[in-house]
Amino acid sequence: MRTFTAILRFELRAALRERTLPLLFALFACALAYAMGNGLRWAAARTEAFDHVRRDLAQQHGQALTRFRDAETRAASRAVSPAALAAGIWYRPTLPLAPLSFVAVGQADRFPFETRFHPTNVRAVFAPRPVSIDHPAESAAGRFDVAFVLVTLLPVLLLVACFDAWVRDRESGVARLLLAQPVSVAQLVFAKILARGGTLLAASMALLAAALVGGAQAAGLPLDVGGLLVAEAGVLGYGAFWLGVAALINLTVASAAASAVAVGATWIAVVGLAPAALGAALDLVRPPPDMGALVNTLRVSDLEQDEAEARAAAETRAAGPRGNALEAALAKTERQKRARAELRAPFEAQAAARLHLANTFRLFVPSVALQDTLERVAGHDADRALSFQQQVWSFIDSLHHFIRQPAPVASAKSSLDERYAAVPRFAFVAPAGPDRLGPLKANLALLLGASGMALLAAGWLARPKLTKKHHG
Amino acid sequence: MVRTIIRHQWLLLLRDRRARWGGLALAAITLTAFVAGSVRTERQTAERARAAAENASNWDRQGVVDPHGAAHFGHFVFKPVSPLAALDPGTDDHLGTMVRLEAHRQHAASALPDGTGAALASFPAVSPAFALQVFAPVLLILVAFGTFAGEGPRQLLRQELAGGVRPGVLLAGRFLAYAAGVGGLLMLGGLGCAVWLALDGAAAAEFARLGLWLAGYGLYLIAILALALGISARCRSAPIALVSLLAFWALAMLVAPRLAPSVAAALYPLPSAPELDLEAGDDVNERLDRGQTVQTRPERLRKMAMDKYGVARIEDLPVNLSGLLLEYAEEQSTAAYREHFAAVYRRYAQQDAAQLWFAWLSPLPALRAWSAAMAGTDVAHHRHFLEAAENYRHAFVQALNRDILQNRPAGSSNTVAYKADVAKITAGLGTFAPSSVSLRDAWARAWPGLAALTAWAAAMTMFAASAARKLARLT
Repeated sequence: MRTFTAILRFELRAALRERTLPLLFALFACALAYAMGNGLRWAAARTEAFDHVRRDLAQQHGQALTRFRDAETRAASRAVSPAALAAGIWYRPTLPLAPLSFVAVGQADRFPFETRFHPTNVRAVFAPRPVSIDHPAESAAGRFDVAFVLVTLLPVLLLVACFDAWVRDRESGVARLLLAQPVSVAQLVFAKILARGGTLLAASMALLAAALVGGAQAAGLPLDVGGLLVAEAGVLGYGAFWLGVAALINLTVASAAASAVAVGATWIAVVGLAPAALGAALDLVRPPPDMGALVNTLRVSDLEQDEAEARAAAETRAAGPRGNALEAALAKTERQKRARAELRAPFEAQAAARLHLANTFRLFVPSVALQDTLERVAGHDADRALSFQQQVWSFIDSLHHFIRQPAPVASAKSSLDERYAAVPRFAFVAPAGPDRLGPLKANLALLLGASGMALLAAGWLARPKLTKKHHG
Repeated sequence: MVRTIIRHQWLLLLRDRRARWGGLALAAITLTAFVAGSVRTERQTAERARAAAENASNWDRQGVVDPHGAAHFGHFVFKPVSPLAALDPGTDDHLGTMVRLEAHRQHAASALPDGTGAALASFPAVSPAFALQVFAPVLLILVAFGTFAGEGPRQLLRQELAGGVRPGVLLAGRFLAYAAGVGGLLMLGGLGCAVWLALDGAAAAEFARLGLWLAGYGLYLIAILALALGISARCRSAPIALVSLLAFWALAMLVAPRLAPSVAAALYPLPSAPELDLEAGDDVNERLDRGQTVQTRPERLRKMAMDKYGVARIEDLPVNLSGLLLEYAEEQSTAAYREHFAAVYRRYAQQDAAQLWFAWLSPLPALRAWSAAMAGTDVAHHRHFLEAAENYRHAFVQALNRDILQNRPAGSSNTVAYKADVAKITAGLGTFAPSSVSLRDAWARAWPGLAALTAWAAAMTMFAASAARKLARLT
């Protein structure tokens, strides 16, 4: 161990003298700073979008309250109940930003972050609407966010730092002299990789932690310490995987040029080709649901339902005086909701099967696993977005329940504003427990497992019987 | 002499395992991407055609209903898939595939082709364009970095130059050998695509687009090749040449393409979807003096109606007032929405122009713009579809409004009192079938991309030529 530490210290001094490490770290810092700025800009734009939603809703509620106030003035003896108030206004539930939302834009533009509905008409809930009108070139090229820097650029920098760590000594003949000393190849290779790549990785992780803390403060969001630790653990696993790859390549190729080719090819395979190939396989095995067919199916159902409702209304009118109009409207909405849920079920099942397969595929490739980790930490993953949709449907149920309850007699003293305050509001509850931790644990296990395997394989290649080969 | 050098270089290329396996891998990736892309585009074409037919039948099956109710039921129109989308999906995967058309408002396109939302979607999808844009330069770099670099110390270059060949001729010969390989592979791929287009019954313009698409890639790869040879000729050591070229690749192919749109977006920010919605809605309300119900329409509109028909009292109008107001309101809301969407597209254009400045840093942003334009998968083609959809929306809504104006009893605003067969009213409009963007229009918008690529190819060739003059120093 003492020998290893001595080699490590020597290599570290040598690496710092070469100025490669500071240069690579400076590059990482620049990329991270830009990505942070970009992520914060995106988060600010999304916050502004929330403000517009709130403004629009406040305007609508203001108009509704004016109507109610006028009605109360006209019939001074009748106060509008909170249930009637709840049934007479629009709702716009929103999916709030997660504390580390600036880390990765992820799937934020693929799922709705807000929806609108009236308690007596839920057809518009999550109707197809554009989520973002940003220039599509931005999402087509990929966002320059922190996730991009960590998943794509950090490995490049680690590989540049380490690609010739040992191979250069072998090429120049220095390895022969070094191995004449009482040290093993494994000690030399791992000390060199650790001194170069390990130092760069540790410095990058420290900078990342500082950036995330600073970013949360700048965005005015609370600091998610758990999320930060998960992100750091993911980066550590991913970085260690690439250091293992670098060690493996250093031990298997004979020249620096061949090593550069090999690390480049591995990087392309892991970061570019494998995810693209899995994406193509996903398309072939589980194509996405046909949204056009879904829309048409729902429209046919709406037409049929409207015709049936119109017939029923005509019959009711013919039979005698009308019952409770609000109750009738709620019953109609319930029927709409049930009919739509039945029609959507096969499409949602197809989408869920596709998502499940895509989530399984992520565990084959470390780059996708880290991307998924960072998207989950940022709260821009499919599971959180789908949880939002489920919570909105549950909220609609609870709202209907609130409206249906025998209306409590509004106190003559309670103002309209006080009764309005009693109307249920949607509040998103972020998934916690196994729902959130399960996928994160799987990602971290994959990343740490992959790095462990790469390092073990390198250790196996560097075992003493191969020493002869490394003499050059 | 040049011919001999080319023949010799070809021999070396054939013997080079890196070139052989790399070339095969690239061909396999490109071919697989093309097959996967064509399966996808065929599925999308079939789905959208089916959906369009279902939409038409849904419209017809409404029967006799309130025309304004039908205008709200509206249509859904589906974006046609470009025949060359299998080569380059461009921005199509990030744009909506269908548009809801209804009275009073212009919707943006919704429903992304893949809304699955897994982390895999954050990685670029495999396509022939992506393979040629990102992987082909790596292959060229790996094959060409050692062409001159490293020959100096090994004294090979000295022997070659001692044979009487001038450094410029040597470089030109090797450059032509590689370029012939690149050109040959591109032409082979192009021929395959042309056969596929012919079997698909594509129009002649699609073949021209394919040719121009390939020309862009030819210029791009020539630029990369010339750069690789230039760097190789300037560096004494092969690893330094390789690392320099890979650093350029990482900067130009990884960083610059993501940097360009994000910088452009920061310079020319866009409103969010809810903001656009709210602002357009406010604008419509302002134009129509809203805040009042249909029954208590502002006097201004009533007066306008009476002036139009030259009557003194509303009751004397020969047409239905509701129909008249609906027609007027539609004109106003259409103008408001068109104005707001036009402002968004102006911002897109400003962002496009800003992105093109990054062509100084990397040829990839220019190639991406050119490639998507020729494949018919860029924003301009999407806008063309949206405008056609908007014109269709305006036409069918106004046809229904005119029917109300002419046929609903003059004094009635009761929607139950008047119903009509809406399919008959809109029969004259036919089904929605947007025209395709002409090659001339696509060229007019995309030529700066090709110009930037030509400039890159010319500049890199000059750089290689200047490097050739310094080749002798390596000896």
